[in-house]
Amino acid sequence: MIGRGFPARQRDIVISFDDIPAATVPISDTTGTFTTSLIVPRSASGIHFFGHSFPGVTGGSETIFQVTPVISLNQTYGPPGAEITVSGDGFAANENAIIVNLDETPVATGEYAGSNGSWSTSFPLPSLLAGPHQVRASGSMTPRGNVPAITFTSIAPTGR
Amino acid sequence: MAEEEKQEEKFDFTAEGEALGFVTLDQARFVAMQTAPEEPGNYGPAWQTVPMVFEVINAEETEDDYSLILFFRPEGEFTGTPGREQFVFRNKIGQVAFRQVLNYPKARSRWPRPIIIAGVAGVVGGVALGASSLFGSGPFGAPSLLAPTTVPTFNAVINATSTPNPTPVPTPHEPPVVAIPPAHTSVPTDTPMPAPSSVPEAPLTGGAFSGPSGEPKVPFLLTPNLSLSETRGQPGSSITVAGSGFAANEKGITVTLNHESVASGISAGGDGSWAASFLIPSIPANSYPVRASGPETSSRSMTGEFLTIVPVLFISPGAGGPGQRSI
Repeated sequence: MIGRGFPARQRDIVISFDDIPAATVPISDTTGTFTTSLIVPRSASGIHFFGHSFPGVTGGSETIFQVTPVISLNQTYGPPGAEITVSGDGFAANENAIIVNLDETPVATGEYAGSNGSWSTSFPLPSLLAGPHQVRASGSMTPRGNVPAITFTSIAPTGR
Repeated sequence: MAEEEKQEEKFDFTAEGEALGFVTLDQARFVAMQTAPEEPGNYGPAWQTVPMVFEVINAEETEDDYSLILFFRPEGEFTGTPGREQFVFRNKIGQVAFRQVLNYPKARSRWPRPIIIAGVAGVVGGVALGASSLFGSGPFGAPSLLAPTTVPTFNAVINATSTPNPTPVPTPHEPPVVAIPPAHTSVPTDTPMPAPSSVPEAPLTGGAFSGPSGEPKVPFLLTPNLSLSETRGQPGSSITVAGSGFAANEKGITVTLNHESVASGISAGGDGSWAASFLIPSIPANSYPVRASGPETSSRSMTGEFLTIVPVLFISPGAGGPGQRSI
């Protein structure tokens, strides 16, 4: 994220996400510019707004940001039988009928997102050929193609 | 002899013809001269609000019609090429059947010396005639003793009444030299001129408005002017600057923001106006002057505009999932 047109050497510039402070920039440079990065806060899919303020000045312009759905795994490899947790963010608020697929096989169904578009579920990893497999998710309002797949690598169980 | 011809022309039409509204060529000339200032033609945005004086420069009679060509130019001093407008009287009826502007007036120079002299005369109120000798006799001679930016701006009052005996209009190659009136001569009244800032897109020129018969002149000066599409903007956004009142066809105009060039190589049109766009650079929040200047127009001779820089956040990519450190 780059800020331009701020007062030169302005301290404590607060970046807000939907009016909620999300980050603070210590100081801008002599041209009123700064560069920072931040993690997109958990939020439902759709349009959101980044704003800024600094001591004495609030209510400046806002920058549009579109939140898109993503999923994540608590681990990206494991043996069959391992408990895998899948988390989704950026789905629609209160979206239902969320399905998780491992390749083309549903491994979790009927999940619900919260008002912030987030959800989480776990499933035991079925017996699979060792190697990479695709984890996908979809919901009543989120087509599968809108959610980037994550690769999970199945490994052979350790011998006993 | 001339009187006899006039008499003959006057009786070209019978009483019946006169009843039908037939007019002589002389009468048509009078109607054209009367109609032109009362109902100005389409003289373009640069001249539409400028009072004009007219002179018949050609009058032709065909079997059925009269066709007259009138020179028109701004009242008073005007150092350029007059415009031309045609008036046609169909079937020699005393009504203008149609009229068309053949070309617009073209300003020739920003600082014709007589204007500067007239300005001095108007301000000092005294020795205008004597002052002219300080500057030589030609309208485009050596640099003046007075810098253009020192010339005061006036709201002129002019005599807008037309006359059947107008001041001869100069040819394009012979710009008029203004006769400097005695400073104590009273100024004719009637139509107040708009303030310079309200004159749309007129080329920068000076002048001394006057009645068309060598009556006293009141100096005026059109100052160059700038306007911005927005007075507030964020770095990276586009701003359009429009200029007017520059010299006709002036080239090499540069726009500055806070004294730094943001657009250059701009050319004005024949009416002295131009427009250019620039992207607001990355500069701290503040209000900065926007100026423009060219080889013939100083930025000091205009009232500049101010652009206020407002902060903005640039986020790339503009979309992403929560939890991703992507922005």
